[in-house]
Amino acid sequence: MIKIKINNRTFEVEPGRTILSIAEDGGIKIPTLCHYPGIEEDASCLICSVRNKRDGTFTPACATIAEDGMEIDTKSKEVIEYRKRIIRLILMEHRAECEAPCRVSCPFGHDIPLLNRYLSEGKIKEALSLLVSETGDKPLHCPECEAFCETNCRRGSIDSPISIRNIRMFLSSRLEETSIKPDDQSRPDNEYKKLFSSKITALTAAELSEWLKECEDTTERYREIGDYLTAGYEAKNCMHCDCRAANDCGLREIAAQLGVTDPPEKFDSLPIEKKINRNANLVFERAKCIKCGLCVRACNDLDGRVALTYLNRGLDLIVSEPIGVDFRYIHSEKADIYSNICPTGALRKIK
Amino acid sequence: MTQKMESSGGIVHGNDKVIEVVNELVEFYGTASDKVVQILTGIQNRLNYLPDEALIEVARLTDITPGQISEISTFYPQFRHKPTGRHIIQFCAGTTCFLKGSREIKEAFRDYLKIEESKSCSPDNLFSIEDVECLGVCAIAPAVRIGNEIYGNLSTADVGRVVEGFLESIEKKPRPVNKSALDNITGEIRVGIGSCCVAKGSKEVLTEIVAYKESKNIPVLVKPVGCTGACGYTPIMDIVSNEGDRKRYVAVTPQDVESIMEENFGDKKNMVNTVDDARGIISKKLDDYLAKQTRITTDTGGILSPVSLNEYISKGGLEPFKRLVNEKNRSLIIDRLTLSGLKEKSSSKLVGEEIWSLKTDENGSHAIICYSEENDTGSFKDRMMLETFPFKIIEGMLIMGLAADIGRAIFHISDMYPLAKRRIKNAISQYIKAGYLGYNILDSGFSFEIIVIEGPGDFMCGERESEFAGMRVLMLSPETFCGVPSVFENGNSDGNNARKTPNTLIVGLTGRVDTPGVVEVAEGTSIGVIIDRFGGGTESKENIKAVHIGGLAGCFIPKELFDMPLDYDIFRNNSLFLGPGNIEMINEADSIVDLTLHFADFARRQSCGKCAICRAGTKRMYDIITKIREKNCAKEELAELELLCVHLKKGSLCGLGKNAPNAVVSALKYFKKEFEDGLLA
Repeated sequence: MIKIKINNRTFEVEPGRTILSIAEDGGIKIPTLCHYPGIEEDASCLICSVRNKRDGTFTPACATIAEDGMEIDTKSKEVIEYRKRIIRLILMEHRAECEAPCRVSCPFGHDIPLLNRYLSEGKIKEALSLLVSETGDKPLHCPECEAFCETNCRRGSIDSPISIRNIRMFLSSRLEETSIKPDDQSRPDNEYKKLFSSKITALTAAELSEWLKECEDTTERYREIGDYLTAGYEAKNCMHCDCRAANDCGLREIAAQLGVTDPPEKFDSLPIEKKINRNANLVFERAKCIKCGLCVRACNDLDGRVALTYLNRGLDLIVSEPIGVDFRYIHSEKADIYSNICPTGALRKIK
Repeated sequence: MTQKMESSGGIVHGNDKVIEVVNELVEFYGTASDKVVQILTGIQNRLNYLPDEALIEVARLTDITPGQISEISTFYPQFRHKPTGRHIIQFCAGTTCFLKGSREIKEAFRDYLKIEESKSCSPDNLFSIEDVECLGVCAIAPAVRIGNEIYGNLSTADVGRVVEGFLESIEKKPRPVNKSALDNITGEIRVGIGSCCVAKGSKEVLTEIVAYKESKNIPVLVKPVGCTGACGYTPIMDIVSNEGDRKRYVAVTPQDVESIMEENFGDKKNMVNTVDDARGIISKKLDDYLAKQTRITTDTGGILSPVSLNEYISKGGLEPFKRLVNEKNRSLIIDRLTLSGLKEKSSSKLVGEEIWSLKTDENGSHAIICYSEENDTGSFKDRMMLETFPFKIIEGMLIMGLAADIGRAIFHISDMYPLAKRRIKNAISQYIKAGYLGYNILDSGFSFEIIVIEGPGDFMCGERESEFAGMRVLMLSPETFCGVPSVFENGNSDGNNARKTPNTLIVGLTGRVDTPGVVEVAEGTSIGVIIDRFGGGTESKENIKAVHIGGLAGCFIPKELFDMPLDYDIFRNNSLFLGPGNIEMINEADSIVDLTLHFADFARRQSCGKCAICRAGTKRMYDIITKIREKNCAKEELAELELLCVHLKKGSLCGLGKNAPNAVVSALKYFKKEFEDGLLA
């Protein structure tokens, strides 16, 4: 057995364990992004860094094996400053657009993209339920509102904005006929705004055409919404400007905890492409990838099936499908693993 | 069958050609996944770049998966995924070239070849341009390489001459050198043929000498020799009689050869030495230059041929090894190495102790590696050592192998140093032919093999240091191996008389210096003394503001601190980094901010990208210094830069990240004013 001190508490443990696992057992919380139980550690994000009191260096808790006599601190000012630095640097290479412009500009913070998604997938009940949970007993505010959501809708820069207000008014008119209960899963009102990053950025023409890939199978547009069918069609034109990981993003959570804001300056290497694999139900937004490599470590292509890999080095380092292989050849088994372990919204299921 | 034709600077090939090349290479190297770098290098040499189809085919034929091959082929910067022009012009990104205007030279080449801003290939597909970390010829900075030719001391006005000269040179074949032996040889003429010397015209000088000699049938041996290290004086021509009398000419041009030969061998023999008189002062200076050094490791530079093992042996080479190979108790060799105080310069550890720890390590197989792959800017002395002392370095390896009871050594030589690689390979084959390498050497029971690994030429630190292909290895610099035979010279097999060698340091002196070169001095000599003794005239001394020492992980030292001795321990205790021991001199007129940006740029490009702090931290460092340079930096950002350096140092996981901020930290410590001038008003 060896002895190690974490935040002045002594732990007696078997040799060979990581600082992270000892701390977790002792109820000491250390944030992680590139760590996932059962997958080999790589210590690439460094957000779990703790301070070795003896020499003052920072060491990743996930990959550092405890040594006898070690003294570790996980929460001093120095450690927090270092973690803030790491998060700021990661955010400089991350496209932090957690929420869609329609929702950010809505005075009531309604989750419009989610409503559109329900409708486009034919999930009428869920859509109505979301509406109820957002408005409660009160009448809908949309008729009196100036519809900032539509003014800011990015679809407007391509042809015309999604008919958000009409969709909501139509749904509201159907509420009386049903007895829908509020949906507890959705986040009501403006609570999301307390979280890190909810801002509106303008897209370039090239970016708009990438975003348009989201609504590949849609053609028809309806301004007036008179039934569920037209509501569904219109909703299918929504380009999914919100992040798929808005509510379960490790990066967003840690940034909010540390009180770090999204840096105005970004490195100039943020790519604009969205890759969509409809067979495997997988979407990859490289600009949201923090290069932690969890996906690369989670599965390789030794089984003969396409797997993600690293390309390039330094700041040009990216996660990608191998050279000469199409992203659409990624198998759904691997797609499931990817969408489960990715700590940000870079790799997610389309639906 | 329809063929997809690809044009690459005149090299046209279809898919069949690609498949054929890949098949040949896979057949040659085998299908094991550790052969991937060799196979890729082979493909690129044949096809000029790595077409996607080739990568797919390699993955199909070998154990390498598409993921692995994609990762490796994009990680090493020398692999190209797009076709280039027929000839590649490589621009050195080293510090001395940077100081001497490499950026302007590159622009001039772009203009001359009409290469557009965003492109790297000329419209006629004849030339491509590419940046490389360091060509290792700092003494003739700024330099470029085209094909196998190096062109140095360039100015923007030279560009047309260089391009046209290169095109001419590839058309005509060099005149063959007649090597016919003569019976009554009266002496020898020595001419240096290191990379820098060649670039300054020593091959042409040699050709003229041979032509004169043959036309007049003069009984003298014309001998190409290794580097003296006095790069500021090259090409050097030494005429040495059998009695050892020597006449020395410096900065010789092909046009000088005839009169030099005349006054030594022709009608004007023993008359007034016109050429010598004209250059007499400089020639004396060169003698001083050499005499003021402590040449132990580099003693034979400029004297012995780097391509003749016979000559090496005839001048006492291999004596130490021949004596030691019959030593019964080989541990004594280690004791003597330890006693001698010989240290590996980069780590400052005693070589004897390092060998002992390798020998007593019981895990797995062992090897020693001569590591010269780091294309650190200014590490040109490694190249010079390999080119000049291949036989001595190999003898050092043999002795170490004997001491550590190891049967294998590896050379890891940068692709940037083709001549060094050729010389080492040539030396190894001569050793094998003479029976000093291979199975049961000299019937002693000791067997030893040396292999040369074609190393991708880039700067790497960190985890690779103690393991190589699963072997526990000892990595040492060429300089250290070269110092080993000297320890055992003049000794006998009695274990007590190992001499305590003065530890010397081989230092490259470049940058704003009149007489650049490589000098060997006793450890502890101060920076100021080195500059005074070897720096030469005016360009440097009066205006010098600082030096930068230690390559890319090194630091700035202002002139107030020039009394500091060059000593690895003292440097370390002052949180400084001596690294490859190269000194770059910096003038008052040079901007420290510009130079710091140059080092930050290097760190940014060399980061492997694995850890967030190094990948994004080095980039942020670069961005902030860029703002300072553009006088567009907020005060908070300068403060951010200082803390960022601390975080990089304390948080990075490998040597590259930890040392990346060294230049910035020292620049901010000694030249903060220059940075504050870049703040927003």
